Amino acid sequence: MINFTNNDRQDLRQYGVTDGADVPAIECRNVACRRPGSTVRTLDGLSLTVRRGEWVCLAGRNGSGKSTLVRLIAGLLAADEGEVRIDGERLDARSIPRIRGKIGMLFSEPDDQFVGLTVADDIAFGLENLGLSREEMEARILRYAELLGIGHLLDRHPAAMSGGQKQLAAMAAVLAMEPSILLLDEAGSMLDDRARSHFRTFVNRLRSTGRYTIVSVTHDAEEMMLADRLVLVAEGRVMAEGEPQRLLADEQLLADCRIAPPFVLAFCRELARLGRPIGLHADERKAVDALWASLSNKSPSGFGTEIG
Amino acid sequence: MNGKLTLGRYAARESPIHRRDPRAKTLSMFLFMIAVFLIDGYAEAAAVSLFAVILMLASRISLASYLKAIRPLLFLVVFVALFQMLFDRSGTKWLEAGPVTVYSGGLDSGLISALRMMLFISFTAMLTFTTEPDQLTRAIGGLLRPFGRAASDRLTVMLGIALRFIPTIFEEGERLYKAQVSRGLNLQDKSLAGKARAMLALLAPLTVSVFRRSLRLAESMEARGYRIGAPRTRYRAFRWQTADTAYLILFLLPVAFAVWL
Amino acid sequence: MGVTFEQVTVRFRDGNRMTVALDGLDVRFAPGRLTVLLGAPGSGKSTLLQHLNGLLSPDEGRVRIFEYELGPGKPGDVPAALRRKAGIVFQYPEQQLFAATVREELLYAPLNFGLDESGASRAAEEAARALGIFGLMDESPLELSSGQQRKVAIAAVLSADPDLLALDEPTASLDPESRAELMALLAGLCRKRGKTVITITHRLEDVLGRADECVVLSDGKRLFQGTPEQLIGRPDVMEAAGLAPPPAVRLAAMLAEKWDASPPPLYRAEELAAWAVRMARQSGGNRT
Repeated sequence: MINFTNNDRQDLRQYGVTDGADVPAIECRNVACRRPGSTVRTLDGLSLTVRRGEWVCLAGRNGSGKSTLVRLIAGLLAADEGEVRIDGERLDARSIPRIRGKIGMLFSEPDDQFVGLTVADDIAFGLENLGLSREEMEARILRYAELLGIGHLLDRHPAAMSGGQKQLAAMAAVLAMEPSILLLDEAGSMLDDRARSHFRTFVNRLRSTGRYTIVSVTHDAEEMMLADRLVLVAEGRVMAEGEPQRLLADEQLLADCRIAPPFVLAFCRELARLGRPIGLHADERKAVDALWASLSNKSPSGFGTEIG
Repeated sequence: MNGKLTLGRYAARESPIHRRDPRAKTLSMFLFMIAVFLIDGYAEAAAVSLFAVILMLASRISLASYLKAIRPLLFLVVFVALFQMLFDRSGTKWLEAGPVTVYSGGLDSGLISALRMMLFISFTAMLTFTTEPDQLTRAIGGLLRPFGRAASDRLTVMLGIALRFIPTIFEEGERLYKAQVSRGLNLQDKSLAGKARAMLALLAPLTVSVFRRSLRLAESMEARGYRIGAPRTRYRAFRWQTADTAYLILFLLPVAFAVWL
Repeated sequence: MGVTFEQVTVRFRDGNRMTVALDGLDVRFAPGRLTVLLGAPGSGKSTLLQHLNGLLSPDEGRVRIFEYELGPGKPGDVPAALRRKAGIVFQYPEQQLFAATVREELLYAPLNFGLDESGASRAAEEAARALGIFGLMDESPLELSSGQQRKVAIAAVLSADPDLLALDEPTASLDPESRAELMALLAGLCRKRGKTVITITHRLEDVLGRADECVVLSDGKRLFQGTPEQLIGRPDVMEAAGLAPPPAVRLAAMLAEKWDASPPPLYRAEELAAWAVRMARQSGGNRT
């Protein structure tokens, strides 16, 4: 089991040593969750820390506990054991209504997040819950619809929108509540390739603003490659975490977690078999550059098999 | 998708009635219903009918449309009229045909009952003709607010969600129907067993799907800060104008007619 | 024989407008092969599919499915035999499941189409075996995983033993491993059981190495028809079809750019690596 988790900071905090500047956005300490009415544990002593502004991808086979984890962080479920902290503050029945304002969550089914009769009404729903004035609501609706590129769809009924458009509307509705943490539960899984790619690019843009901490559950290798950190979940625990490029190059790990290895990996392996090893890369650009570099070197033994 | 389902009978027009606050329109309907209930003479019926016709014309929707609204309930109108004609024995004998005797009193009350029913049905159609379904549900919510903000908020959200999902679920039903037809579902099947199987194949999956949707929707709503009973503001609101007060007061006329003529 | 669309035009009323879903479409689907139907949303794929078992009939032109013919003005009753011979699996087919057990679910179609109990039982079991779910026959469909439910739903159409199986995005929402498995199953239906399979998809990964032929629709017309390899060599067609190039194609393009060559229509890792090695040897260190 590869475990790159750095527990040092967590240990310090146990002794009450906190540093306001680097309070993690999300902290899960040894959380356990049981399915109601059974002894089956969906989460089994899982610990995870997400730094502010980080984009973490959660991956693993269905039933590994990743969806449960994300719901726990959103306060939709309560942990049976352990605790969840958002910006250092403990999440419990009392604090959830207040802390919830910091968290925005998107689900996979575009239709079943759409409450309003039009896009404008749907974005307004969350803002009404926040108790904003009509003027403020109007301003935010326009601003975030424009941001998502759906300003022209404000009067559209969901039945007249494609899955991709509905998901963008859902994103606008969540962003309009101005959360600092975004949780995405396989938000692109029901979209066609184009729409998914567009969605992925948008999430990347959000990450680069530095204003959001993002945790996304996904099966999509391309999304994993964009994230800062990849966390592989299995049997309710963190099995491995680290740089996506590194983890995605480990075939055994991928097999264990039911993730399809990126094509470029197979390509690198074939090159090695043909006597032109360039190392194992999960990133296409890196692989091409490595191949190019190996040609300029002219000596095939220049690299060997390195993971990087 | 194609073949959009149009909910309700809303017909967009530029008319003073369309522009009225839906709450005023709903309340005025109640006043009108009271007026109709109080009619018991030809003069009263005529006056209230004239009032109704003038407003219907003002709504810029054809009188024919209003009359057509009666059609589905025509049997009820006829039934009510016949009932009165056959069993009200006041007044003098007017018609005798074999075992059936109709008295003048019965004739009057029968005709007036029929007229009242037709007035009622055709005029209340104005509410749905001139108001979008969404506005109606919000109007109902708005009118109930004085009786309990939390309950009225909850009702408004519920009705809004129902409206939002009806076209979606209808489309899903259409897709489901096609899928089951492709497995040999035959609604023309005369046998009882066949019909039962057909219904099960359509209703069971649709029901499961609706339950699943509502669970997912509830999660999403909760994640967006919705809490039952918690105070919330409103994005869309009606603005009550003087014209709406005037409109409401106008409806005291038919009530007055019904009482004093 | 197979399936032929001749100058087929289909129009729909959408509110106040008439939209043309299929516009003088001419296409022929070879029997016994796996053909993939591609195209951007709104290109007419779903409309085409619904003609295959007579759910829709054309406003103009003719559709021939094996020995049956659909045309405008023909009476609405489609022979039940066509419904049985041509089965359609719609998107997210697990939504149509309703029986108490998988077995009952699989018996539904053959019984509806008039097979007797033993014939229906046999057909149901064969379909279950074809989809690899024979062990689940006595389970309740609602308690299976979504991947298993998907297989049950497909088997539920297959159990009528149609000669033509049409599917609308059968791999939607599945993880990559399940997608590959399902596409292999469909290919197997063609090769081992001689069925004609037409499937709509928009993931090129599903197509490569599996499909015999690709038909691309655009604005209700046939834009392209050819093998998957030929399709990859046509980035303009892929763009029109709303297809995102799979990683293999992207990588090939990046490599080709370095050598100032045209990207090879290869999508298997071994082939692409071999090509790269060849190019490297040829250029012998000469690069731009």
